[in-house]
Amino acid sequence: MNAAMALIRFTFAEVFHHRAYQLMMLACLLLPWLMLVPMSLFLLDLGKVLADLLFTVEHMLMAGFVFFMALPLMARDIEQKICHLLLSVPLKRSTYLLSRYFGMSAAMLPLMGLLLLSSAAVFVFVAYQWPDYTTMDLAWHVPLGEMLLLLPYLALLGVLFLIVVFASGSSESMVFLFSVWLLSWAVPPVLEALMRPEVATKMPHGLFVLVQGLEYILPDLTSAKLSLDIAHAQWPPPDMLWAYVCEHFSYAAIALIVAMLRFERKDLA
Amino acid sequence: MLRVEGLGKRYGKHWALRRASFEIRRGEAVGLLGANGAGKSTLIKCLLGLLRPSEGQVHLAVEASYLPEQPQLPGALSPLAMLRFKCAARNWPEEWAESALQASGLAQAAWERPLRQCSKGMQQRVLIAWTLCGPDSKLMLLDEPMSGLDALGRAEILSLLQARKDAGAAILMCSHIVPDMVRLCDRVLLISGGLIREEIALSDHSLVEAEMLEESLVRWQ
Repeated sequence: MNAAMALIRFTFAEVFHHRAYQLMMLACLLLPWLMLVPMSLFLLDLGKVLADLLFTVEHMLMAGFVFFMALPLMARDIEQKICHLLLSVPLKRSTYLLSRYFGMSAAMLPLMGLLLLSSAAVFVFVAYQWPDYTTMDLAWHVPLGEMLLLLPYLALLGVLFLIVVFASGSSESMVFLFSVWLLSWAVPPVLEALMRPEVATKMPHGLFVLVQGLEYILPDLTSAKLSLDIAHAQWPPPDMLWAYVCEHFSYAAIALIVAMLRFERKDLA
Repeated sequence: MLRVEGLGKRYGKHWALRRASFEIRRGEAVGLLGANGAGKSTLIKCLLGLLRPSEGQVHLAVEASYLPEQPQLPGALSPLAMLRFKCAARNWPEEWAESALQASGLAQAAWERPLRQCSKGMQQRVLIAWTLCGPDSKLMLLDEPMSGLDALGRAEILSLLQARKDAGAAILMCSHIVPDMVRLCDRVLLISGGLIREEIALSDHSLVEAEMLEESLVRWQ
């Protein structure tokens, strides 16, 4: 347990001291304020527009963290023998992977916290400055929606670990992770469209079952709709919310378990 | 402290290491000498379990500390942070991190400096400190420990390893540098094509023995 906690702290410190991470923290503080510029182009409810823009910013930052901080760190660990050093402490291989995962997940929280704080300040500013254009109240559903958006990136982080233990290096990991990310954004909406009654009735039964199966199995990491609905105070049924939370934790858990099984048997040359 | 019996590692049809058997006792230093690709690093990684051996057995009586060949260290962290992590993971007192850095000869001004700002030689000393950190009497597996060090640095590290050896540590060291091996080791295992070809005992650590080792190395190339 000590070793695991020590590696979680070590991973967090490693990410935290990285200059790129410090720039991301600065971006979390500044970007919500910069969003005031594009927001002013819309003659709509400014609060709603701002919520939408903040979600875009959050997607960018979290994806940036996974692709440009977590991926290079893990790929380098395996490629450049840092994991040999860490495993020689000694640490179990599964402890090493899990601690690295939790350390990196923990490093996402300060980014999230800063973004939430800065967003809240911007909301207050907008509501005070332009009350006539702001009907959306500042209730807790906006931060909740923003926090739920973190789950797909925790799942993506799990997938990253799975890819890294199989891949031969950072370039290969980058290509595969990008493909997973792209597919998990692009395919689910298409499958959802195919499942609509007007399309489904014209489809052969076998194909429909296949599409339905794919729709259930394939990860939907966009999460944009559900968390954005919540941010706009449009509550989904509770079972849908639970399914969303469980789905993403399950993706992360499955990816990590397979990664651990592979890593246990991997030759670290 | 370490006993190896018929250890081998195969990649597909190619044997990178075959039928390696030897023993290292307390307070003994053994060198692994061979050309690039001879199987030295494969042997050390099999001992540590980083590579799964295809045959044979390894018996470790004590915990081993390991110095990998030229790893890239986490550039954002300081040497002290790295060593403190090792102490925290093992529940050792934090002062051991400072003692190990002190012993490695790394200037105190560099202890808190990010590793990316440290020279290659300084980073090598951090790795040496990593290996030294911990109880005195243990097994040290060193893969090219002198890499990146100048002559003075090498002499300092050799004295340090000698002191550890005198304190009861067992050392297995891979190196290309014959004089360093002659100075520290009691025995040298000459490895070529994945096989241990010769075991040469060193008694007086003289230039003559260094020449003898070099001749053997050339003979088995």
